[in-house]
Amino acid sequence: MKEEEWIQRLRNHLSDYEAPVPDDLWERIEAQLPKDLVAEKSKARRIPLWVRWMAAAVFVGVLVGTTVLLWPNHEETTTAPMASATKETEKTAKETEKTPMKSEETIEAEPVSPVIMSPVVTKTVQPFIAEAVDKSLPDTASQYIKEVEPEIVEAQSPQPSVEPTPTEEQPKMKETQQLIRELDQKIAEYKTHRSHHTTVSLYASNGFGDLSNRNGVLMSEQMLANYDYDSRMGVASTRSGSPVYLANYEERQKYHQPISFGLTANFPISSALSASTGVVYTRLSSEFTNIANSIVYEKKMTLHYIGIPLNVQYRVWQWHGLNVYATAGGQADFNVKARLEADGQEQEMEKDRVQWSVGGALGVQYNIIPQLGLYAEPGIKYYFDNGSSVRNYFKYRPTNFNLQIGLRLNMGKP
Amino acid sequence: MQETERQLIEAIRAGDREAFKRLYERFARYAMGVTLRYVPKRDDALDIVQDSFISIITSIGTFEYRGEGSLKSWVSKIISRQAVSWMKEHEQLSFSELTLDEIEEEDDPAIEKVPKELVNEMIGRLPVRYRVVVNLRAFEELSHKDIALRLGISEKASTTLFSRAKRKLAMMIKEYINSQEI
Repeated sequence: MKEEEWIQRLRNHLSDYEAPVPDDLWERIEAQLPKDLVAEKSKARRIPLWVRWMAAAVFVGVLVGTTVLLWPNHEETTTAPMASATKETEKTAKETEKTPMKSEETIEAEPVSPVIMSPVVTKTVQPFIAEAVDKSLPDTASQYIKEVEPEIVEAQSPQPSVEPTPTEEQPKMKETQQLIRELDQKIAEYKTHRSHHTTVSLYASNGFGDLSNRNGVLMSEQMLANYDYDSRMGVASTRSGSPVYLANYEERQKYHQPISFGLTANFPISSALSASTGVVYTRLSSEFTNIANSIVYEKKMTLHYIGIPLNVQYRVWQWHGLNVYATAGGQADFNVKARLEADGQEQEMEKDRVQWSVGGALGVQYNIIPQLGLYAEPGIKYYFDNGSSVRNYFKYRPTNFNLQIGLRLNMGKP
Repeated sequence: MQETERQLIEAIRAGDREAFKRLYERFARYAMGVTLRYVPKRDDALDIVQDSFISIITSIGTFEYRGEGSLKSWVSKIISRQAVSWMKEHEQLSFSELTLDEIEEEDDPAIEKVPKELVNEMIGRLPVRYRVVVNLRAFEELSHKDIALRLGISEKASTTLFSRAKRKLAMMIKEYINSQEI
């Protein structure tokens, strides 16, 4: 009979063989179990669905809030002062109309305040407008210029006004200058904005440091009592409730730092603000060793994630080819592959749940050439507990520092 | 309806302390049966079962569910490791001075004719080196190459020891069958 056939027959014959055990064996085993075993297990609690939805809502809220706060408000900075200035002009005109000091002839013969404004506007503002309303400007820029222009025209249009008194003339000049300054600033902003294009980034990132744990296995109170530990050891007075570890039992875990590679695209929102998203691959590996009575059980776990990041980036400072910026956002990582190797043999394991994280970083970019920049982003990330029983780096160090280094390719015209 | 292995593992991971007892109740007698094949002396076997269950419970976090039966198989592996370790320490399990002679193939008697308890006991009565190899090969399904790695012997030594164990067991079975026929 061949070996395999004989083995199969022997296995089949004894596959369900059982031998009796004494009734008190469980009590003996239970007495030796670590007392905090159940508490430790209960830590791996599940996060209720509503909490996860709340967290997602808060994340979106923070993201939208940040965008709104950092987004330059055109209406407040341009049209409101314009309207205010126009109203002021109208008000002054109305008040002047009521002034009995001036006759209608005087009004026709002498230029009034808008006429005084007119040369300034035509000489200073119009060239800016002509320059700004470039064919290459995006529609929004042209629209913006159009929004501003009628107000200037309105300010230029002849008013049934009277010659201003010397005291009224000075504030109006100031208003006009202010108006021009704001317009100038806005146009300059658009010019800068025009020079910002979509960029593509390729990067590598890692966390800082591996994690290693060595845990002893605690003796339960019942076990201590069964062994009459205190009197045997003669340490009743000194132990005072401190934990006693089982000899020859130990758990070791080693979590290697996460390593990520990403490809992201960065889209400009305004001159200083941009948003980025893309795909990120992250690899996590861990080693678990259990030692019980000098028998060693070793397992190696490797988790592969594909993540979708969403970040906003704010330019803090720019000088020639050097750019300093702050970035913040969130990421959802999906565990696409989970591999477990026990004593050299591969085993199947359940995949981890979606891993959500938020983070922020300060970045420095140096453009080697206008189309290509090198950047480094030291940052901090927080990984939310996804409630899964998969033990990994994120569970044991939810907050960790990381360094991202990459290349950024400018997709627009130089 | 009996709780499935998956349900049992999920209960343990959810922090149900009673589930540890259910795990014990489910596999304790099976564990004892396995252990007696390695270490026939009952008191020693009980110590091994006890230590094995502490290992099983404290390292349950490393167990990965791979379908129904995977938990039973994992329990068996831990028992096996614990038992081999015990044998190395207490039964002077040594593989030195091993002559590697060729074993002639003989007709194997019908194992099924012998009660399970007796076959289990017969394996437990084999010389220590035969016992280890026959358990690892037949019940832990390790290849001779893996057995060689585990025990620090050559593959040829594992094959030889297994053949001798098989022949010895065949003799015991024949004796039993003959005694029953008289």
